[in-house]
Amino acid sequence: MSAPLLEVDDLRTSFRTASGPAPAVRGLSFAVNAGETLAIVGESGSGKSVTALSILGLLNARAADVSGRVRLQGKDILGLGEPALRAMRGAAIGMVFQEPMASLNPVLTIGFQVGEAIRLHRKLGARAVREQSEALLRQVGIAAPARVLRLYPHQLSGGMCQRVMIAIAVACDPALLIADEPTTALDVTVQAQILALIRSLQARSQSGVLLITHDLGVVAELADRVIIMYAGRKVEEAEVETIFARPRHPYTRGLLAARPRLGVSSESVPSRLVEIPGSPPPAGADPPGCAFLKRCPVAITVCSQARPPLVRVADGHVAACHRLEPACA
Amino acid sequence: MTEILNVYNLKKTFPARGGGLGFGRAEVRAVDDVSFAVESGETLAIVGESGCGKSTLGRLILRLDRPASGEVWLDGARIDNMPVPQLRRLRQQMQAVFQDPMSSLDPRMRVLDIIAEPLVNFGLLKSRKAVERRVGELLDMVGLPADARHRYPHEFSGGQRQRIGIARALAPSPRLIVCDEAVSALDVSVKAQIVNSLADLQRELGLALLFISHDIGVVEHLSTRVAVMYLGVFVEIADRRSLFSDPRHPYTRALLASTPAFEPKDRGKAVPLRGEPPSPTDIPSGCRLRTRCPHAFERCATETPALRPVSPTHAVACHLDELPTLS
Repeated sequence: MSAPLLEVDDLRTSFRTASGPAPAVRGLSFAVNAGETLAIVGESGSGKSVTALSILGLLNARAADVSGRVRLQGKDILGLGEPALRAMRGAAIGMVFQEPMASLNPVLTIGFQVGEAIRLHRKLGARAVREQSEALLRQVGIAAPARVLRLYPHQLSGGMCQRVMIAIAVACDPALLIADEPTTALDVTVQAQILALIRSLQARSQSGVLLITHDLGVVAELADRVIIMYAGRKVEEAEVETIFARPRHPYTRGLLAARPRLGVSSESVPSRLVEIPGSPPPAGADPPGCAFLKRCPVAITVCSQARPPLVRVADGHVAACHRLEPACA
Repeated sequence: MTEILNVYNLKKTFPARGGGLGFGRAEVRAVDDVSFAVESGETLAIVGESGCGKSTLGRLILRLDRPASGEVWLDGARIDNMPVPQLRRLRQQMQAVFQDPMSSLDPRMRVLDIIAEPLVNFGLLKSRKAVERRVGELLDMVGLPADARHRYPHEFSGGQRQRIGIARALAPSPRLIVCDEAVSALDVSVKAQIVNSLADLQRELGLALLFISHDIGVVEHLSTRVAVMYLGVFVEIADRRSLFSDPRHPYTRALLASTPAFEPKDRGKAVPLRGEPPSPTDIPSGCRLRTRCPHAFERCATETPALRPVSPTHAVACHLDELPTLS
């Protein structure tokens, strides 16, 4: 078996605040293989986006401490200098973020920004860059690429901007694409288009995708494997079918159950949603036991005393819960 | 059932730049001839995508904005042109909950003062003691601990802050609450709590809710009736059951069909609507959906379809009587 495309080992990210260090990621390990989509799922404050920023070296070194090991294609990338990181971002790793409008420069044309992604990493003449830019826009489903290249971001809709962002992200055929909430800011009819686009691009390029999202619908559409994060730690990891069909951690079960499901209207009275009581622990707090303790329907004494370790519950399926066997199974 | 809110032929336009050199003034028709009623004790959901005019509609009803034409009646009184002093008294009948509780709660006020503000402003309770007792009741109603009253908004999580906002809206015992994307900023686990709380409170207090949302999944769990809005108009309005079991408008169907899969086995089945909503400065002639509609024919470009009843509780604005069944 070949080495994974991306290997993250014991990643820890902590922000420096006036009241001391505030840990956001507390020892996260995972791997992404070529051709695979790994989704990291969590609610706000779970550390999922900070994980992506840490891998990309995009956190300000004066504001955050990052430790652990991150290897891309076998090469350590954590702690690389800025020039090496710049050469890597956009070339080996493509990035798509949530707000396409905020990620594009408003005073530069789409043509300049798509072209820049190519020029920074490849020595090509102006004409070749333009031709390649047009080809990229066509690839992401933009019908009139020559015209769109002359426009500015504000002249495009949110969905079109996100297509442009994806074109920039895949401009240099990156081995890894990091997509942080790529469709969260988009309307549902446009989201379906963008999800289909990401799926088809990946099928063609066989790159690895690290998908960061809070939306289990997006996970169901795109992911091969899923990590559920809670309060900075992985609480469960499994193949996507397993996560949806046989979730083992009470938090994963709660998340799946709390989703509103379409097509329940045969009942004359609207049905209640299943709740997870309480709210996530505040940032920085780290009690000795399980972070999910106060919200957990099956917690017992030991849960407040010791943090549950990640244990293997089946092939390729791990979970961190004291109640895995047998009562909670 | 009595009608608490009536909206007749409501229109709102905003001037838009464009046309070049100041010629050819463009106009955004944000809300274009919308009429409906909300009965006391029911939840009317207004669902649509960004830019469809649903939030503008909410602001017009709350009189945070004035309509270009049309009428808004609250509990039998016309409020769209009512002088402010008179309106102020009626405002206690109608409260609002917005999307971002952090920006709608004053960070320098304690929870007690935030929730007490409407009670004091409307002169509903005279003594400090009575106000504090009422605030205690309200905190209990929305599921916050009694000691929350002495704390500040930043000390609470997003869901708890939204509960504070709901308690403030409930304080003057309104008959109608306008919720504009009230649960959209919340995490999944907390969203379910707030949706359930709103449903419980509404039932217990006999409130009417106007629930504005882009999230059709949440709407199905909370509404009595649903109106679907596209580019400033209602394209379909129906009781919850008919809308979800027998959606008639191609846009309603597209909204339902483009919702992401519930489970991985359904992946790739979402049917995207082609293209994106046209700019509201450049609304297509005839039916507004025709540029994206898979069923559009000549008549759709020349004639605007009016809302017509297909059953006593279901109306749709489409020229087609029967849509081809979705495969």
